[in-house]
Amino acid sequence: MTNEFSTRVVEPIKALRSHLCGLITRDTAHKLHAPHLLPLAKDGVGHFLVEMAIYSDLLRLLTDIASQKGGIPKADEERFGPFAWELFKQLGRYRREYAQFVGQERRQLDAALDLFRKDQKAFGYACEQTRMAGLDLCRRADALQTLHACTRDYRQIMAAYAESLMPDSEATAQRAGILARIESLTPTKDGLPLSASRLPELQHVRISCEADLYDELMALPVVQEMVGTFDSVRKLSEARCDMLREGVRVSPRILPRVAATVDRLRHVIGDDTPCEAYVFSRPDIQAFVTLQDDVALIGLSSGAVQQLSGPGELEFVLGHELGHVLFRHGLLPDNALLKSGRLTVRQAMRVRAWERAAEISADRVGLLVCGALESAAASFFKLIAGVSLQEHSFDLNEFSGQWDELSSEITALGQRDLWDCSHPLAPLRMRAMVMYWEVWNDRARPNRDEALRSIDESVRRMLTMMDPSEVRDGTTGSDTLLAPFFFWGGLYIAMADGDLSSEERQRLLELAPPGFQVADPFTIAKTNPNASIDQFKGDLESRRRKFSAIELYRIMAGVLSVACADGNISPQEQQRLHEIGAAIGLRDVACDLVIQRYLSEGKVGA
Amino acid sequence: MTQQEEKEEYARLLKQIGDVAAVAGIKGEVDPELGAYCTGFKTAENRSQRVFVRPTATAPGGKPVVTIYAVAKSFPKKKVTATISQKELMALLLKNENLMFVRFGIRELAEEYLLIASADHLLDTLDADEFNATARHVAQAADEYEASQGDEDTL
Repeated sequence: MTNEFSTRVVEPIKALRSHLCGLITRDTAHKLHAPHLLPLAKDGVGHFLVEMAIYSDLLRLLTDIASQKGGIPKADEERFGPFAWELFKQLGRYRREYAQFVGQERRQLDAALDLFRKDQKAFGYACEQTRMAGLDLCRRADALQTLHACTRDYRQIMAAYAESLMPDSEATAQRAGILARIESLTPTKDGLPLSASRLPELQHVRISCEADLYDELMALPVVQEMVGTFDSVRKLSEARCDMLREGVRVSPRILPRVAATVDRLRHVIGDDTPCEAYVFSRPDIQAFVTLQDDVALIGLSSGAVQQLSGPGELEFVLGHELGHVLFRHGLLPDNALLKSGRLTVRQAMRVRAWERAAEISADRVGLLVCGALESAAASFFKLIAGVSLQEHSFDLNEFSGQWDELSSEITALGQRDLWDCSHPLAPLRMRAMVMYWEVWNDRARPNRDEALRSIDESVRRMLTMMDPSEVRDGTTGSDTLLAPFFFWGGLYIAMADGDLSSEERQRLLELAPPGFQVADPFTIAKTNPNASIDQFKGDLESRRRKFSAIELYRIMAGVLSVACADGNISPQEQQRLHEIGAAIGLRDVACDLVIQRYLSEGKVGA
Repeated sequence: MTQQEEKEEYARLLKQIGDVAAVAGIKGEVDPELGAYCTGFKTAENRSQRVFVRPTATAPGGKPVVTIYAVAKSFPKKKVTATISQKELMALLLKNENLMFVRFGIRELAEEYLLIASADHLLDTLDADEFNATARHVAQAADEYEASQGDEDTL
């Protein structure tokens, strides 16, 4: 059977590959917006792309057939087992190469069918994008007539493979189903088989705090009332009329690159909301989406179309807007609510907080559909700096590191007036994407889901730096602008008896500034007992605005929450609490009162 | 905001006032009946004055305003003219012009008026020393008025 496979499947793949090898150059990878594949193009990317596409689809078929049969019968296993192994190994190799390229550690990827079934999702975007690129090559080759009937060859390979998996006795309906599946996977001259290109699990990329805020706001009577009105108003909206009047409607014959990108991304995202895109004249990079009578209207500035010319950049921006559509962000009438004058200030803060979180969710969709962090970062760079990358260099790590300095500045200034911004600060968005991408892209990471949840929490804490409404809830340690003081002060208190208890350690991890690497301070604190108080005092000196009394109380309460984490405050901890109090200018009597007050609130029995 | 939300917000602000007082080294507690944080100061030998702090308004930008006040005199609504004369009221207005940080005013309750010395602050940005100083100033002003009337130290 293996020989038959070789004749009917493996050999044709090799032949197809060698035909394409000479045809495809590195330049093609750029044209296909697949820059991440460049390092793999040692002898032309063509063979890699096409082979990957075919293997990927063969595996889809394999798992489809297996699932239809309720597992793989023993007899079949013998027939296609060796070839399946070959496929896994090939794909594993490609994935390893891809993973190495994106800076991941080499993982053990040669697991068997079970892993691969799970991996169909995990197989995910790296392969998906490659597969699409490979299929596109087949299609282009046909279009150029440089390789005769390339897609027909492709289809024949798939059919041969499927045939070989099904004995003649197999039900005709099942056979027809498989053949239809092959049809759906095969590119045509008109385009790629979009139905097979959806990104899995996009709903799950939504940051959890956004969903929570959405539910919280939707439960408010004033919001419910406005939503009802807004639904009617939306039907009467003039948005489409305005866009038709002031912009150019994108179609396959007008701005085809934009039209094709929107079309492809809609299918990749898998959202059926009707969608129209318009380009309007404006030199800077701008994009938005609005709903009119359940049609999503995407607006894109001419600056965006012209400047976002690098691989994946336009995909990122359009994917971001389609992310808003996917998550139904348009159903919450945020602007109407804010303009209505019917919200309390705190409610307005919550609406703004939701808007910012919604941007993070949409950024993630943009990032995943463009498929490369570099592309998303380049879009951001152009958006913020307003310059073209052709003339200027750009370093992703340095760019994303800007958040550390910005957050330090915000902390030093005690800046609490950022709540009215509808978008998160750009360096924050950039950092949030880097954090998400590192985990999302690391498919083999143990406890990946948990790690993604932890990223959500870290990003939520970063967002709270712009959101005083979180602090108003009064949870000890929730004021992220004071996080360095909680952490260093808390560490100093916790080390009073020479060691960190697990409870104290846990509490410190909760209080640490967002994005802070905690392991080092823990080690340093053990070797240098004064390191933490020195750092605390250093941060006090950096502070450029006087603390209010409420902030002073919060600092003490945050530090006390560490002291009390293990259930009691020792005399040594009391002593250090007074040192911290003195450092922030509290008299002894005030310090005692604060401790007494904190304890009387039932946080701990002293 | 619903009534329940308003109530919760008020309680939250009262708690914050208590936090600020603790940082300022001032001991006190919330009086649920008055809906205010209450503390006391010695003003002169054998004299003292109770000082209250309560949320009273919201400044632009949603920032809560608290009023720190001390009661100088109370009088039933039905006997206003018998308790405080026009001349006295005029004297208080003149006094307001010269007082630092504090002003006299009349607070209306259901069945009585309170003559109070008070000052307002933004709670979020209130400084501990400022809180302390204001509380002492209103206590002093109210007690001085009380003493000037020959009243016993009752408030």
